[in-house]
Amino acid sequence: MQSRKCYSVAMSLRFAVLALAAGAGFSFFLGRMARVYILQQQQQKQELQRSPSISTHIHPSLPSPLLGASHHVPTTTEYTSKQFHPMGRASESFLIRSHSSSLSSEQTSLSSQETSTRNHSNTASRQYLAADISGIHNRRWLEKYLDSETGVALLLNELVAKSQDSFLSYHCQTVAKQRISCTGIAPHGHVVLHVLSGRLSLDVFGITLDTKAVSRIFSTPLVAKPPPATATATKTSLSVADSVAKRKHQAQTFANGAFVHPAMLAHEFPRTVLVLGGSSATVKNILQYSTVERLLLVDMDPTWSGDCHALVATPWNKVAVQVSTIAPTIHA
Amino acid sequence: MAWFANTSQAVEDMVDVVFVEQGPSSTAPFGGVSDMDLVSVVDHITDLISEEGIVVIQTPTKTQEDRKEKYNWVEGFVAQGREYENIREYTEGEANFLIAFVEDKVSLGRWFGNEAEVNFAIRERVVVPLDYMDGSTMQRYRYPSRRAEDDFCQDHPDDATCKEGHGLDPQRYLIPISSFEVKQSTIPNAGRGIFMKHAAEAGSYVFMDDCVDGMHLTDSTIRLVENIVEGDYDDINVDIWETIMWYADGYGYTAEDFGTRAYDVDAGIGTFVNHGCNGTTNVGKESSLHLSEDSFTAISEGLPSVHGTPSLKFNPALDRTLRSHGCGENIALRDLHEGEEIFNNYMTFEASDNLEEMANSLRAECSGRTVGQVSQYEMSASKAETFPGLHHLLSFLGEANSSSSADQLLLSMVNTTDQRSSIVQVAS
Repeated sequence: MQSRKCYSVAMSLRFAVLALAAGAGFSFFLGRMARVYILQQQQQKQELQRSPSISTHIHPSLPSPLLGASHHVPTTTEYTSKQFHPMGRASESFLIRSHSSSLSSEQTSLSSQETSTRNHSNTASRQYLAADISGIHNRRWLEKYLDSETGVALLLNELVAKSQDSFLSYHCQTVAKQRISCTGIAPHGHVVLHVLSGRLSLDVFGITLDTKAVSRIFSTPLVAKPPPATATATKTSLSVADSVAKRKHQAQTFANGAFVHPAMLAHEFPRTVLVLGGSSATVKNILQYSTVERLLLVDMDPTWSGDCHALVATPWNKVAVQVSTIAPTIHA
Repeated sequence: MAWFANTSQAVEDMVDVVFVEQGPSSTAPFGGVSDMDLVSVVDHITDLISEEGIVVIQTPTKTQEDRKEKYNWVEGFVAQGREYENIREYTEGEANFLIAFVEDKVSLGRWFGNEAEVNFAIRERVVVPLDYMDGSTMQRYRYPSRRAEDDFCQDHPDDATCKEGHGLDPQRYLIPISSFEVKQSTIPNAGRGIFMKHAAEAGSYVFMDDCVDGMHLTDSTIRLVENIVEGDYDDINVDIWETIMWYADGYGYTAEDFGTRAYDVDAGIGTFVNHGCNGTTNVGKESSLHLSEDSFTAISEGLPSVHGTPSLKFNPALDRTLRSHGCGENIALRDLHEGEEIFNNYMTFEASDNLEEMANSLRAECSGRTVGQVSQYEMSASKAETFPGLHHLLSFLGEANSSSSADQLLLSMVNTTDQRSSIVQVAS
């Protein structure tokens, strides 16, 4: 019977510990290398597209954001920005006034305005204007305003100047060669301008903007409806495209109706009506009532250019409406 | 200011409706006249306005300054004393308006007209179709906005309505209608009265569940009935219409805040609560403790009304809860014991203009010189001639009820919703 051979391995405790440590270290090294090679390389690819902390690029040719004559930069203003890697180009300009520092060096030219007046108004108008502007063929105007970020930024500043408001900052970005977008932040609203191949979209919110001023800036009249199809291509048009603007107009109509009709219907027979400071819409609403025999207007809206004689010639009033012209500003 | 004063002189006729349209700035009352004293403007308007006139003012409410100006207008109207009966606020979108009704409450009654009445008025007097306004829209303006209420309560934190909060207090105990019973009154010749079957604590709601279900006869309904009663219609039996008037007048009370002739009629047995003579009132409005027939002398500016005090002619918080607030005002004025008869204060049910007449009538009843209408009817030999309205009401009820006593018939009426409803349906 063959005797069974026995083997024995003598291993010191030190060897065992070192062997385990070496194995663990080698495994960690392999894992780490794999992570560096596979994951970080992928991350670097993403970094090319998304730059988390791109420092603000101040374009030297951009104008400073406009500070309204009666406004000042709020001391609590903070400005942060995060953007995709600018494959095209992006630039911005801003006003910053922190607790510890005054205006940034770029805005030193504005400091005199800023310190001269402190009557900043907090009353924000919730005006909402959205418009598409096309058919502008004034080449000089186009070259001045729509061919560069600087030009679009100038437009932003002009708009804000007409609104008696201020900018805190704006950001412009050229996505493609002829596609420039600028967003301006005001204390209580914003203005956004998109330019693409000579077409321009305007979006204003929370900034009181006179539509006549807008028309002057764009050298084009503001019309409530899109131009008819028969309009020639050379005719410049500015159309209010956003339904919000229409709703605002509608709300004003409702409000004027709510001003006049409840009282005219609650009264048993309104014959004589006195209007203090009324608008033309108020007068027209009142003259819809056949009971009215006499209408007294005091201090008519001086901006109203309507003709009272046209209004009083209502066929349903058996007795002609008498418009008393008491205040000097009344049109009669 | 001078030219506006001249306007007052230039106007020959009284003005029915005045519109004051604000300029774009809240500091300009209208048309660029920025420094005009609003109280003086209201003075001039009051000189011009007719008795049933209406004043409407466009009042921005965006800023604190706007609200201050709004209250200046209100104070201007309140300062005119009894000239202006009610000042209300209504809203359309962001636009806000004050509307002040002059003392004659005909216009106020029309303000509370139903949707069909408004549409009919538009049909009658508006020639060009209105783009926006119609009867349904008008209904929205009857109640001020929640924002108007909040603004008011922010500026008048001590106002009783504001302190009560919104709606009815869930913490206040409501005495169920089953805790009351109808028995012969302890007052001689007063007919039936209401007694407590169980004790209840002071401050508990009384007849709340019946009150919210009460009958509300609008100004237009009463006007319609009046026209029929007073009109010369050969083919209409006027008696039944007089019955309705008697029912509203005898068992209801004038709803002052809804116009000249509106009535609220209690739906249940609460209508049998007798008047508490000489300040013995134990349920009702807290203000009723200060308004007693024996101490009443003459109408004064300090009279409590549904609005509480004259300074609250303008109260958006109350205007939003006119009916529920009226029901919520019915509380136990002190602890009520089992078997105790409860008494209300009839003075609080009467329109302020008729308080003196009401006080004299109640004094006569309290002293035993006269008795109530139902008792008079029972004692009368010629019931149909002396009390035609009540007689027809009882005849109407008697057709469906074998009881012969007037009290029992009326009790059956208030206990039977169908019969109560049928009385009103006769008019429709």
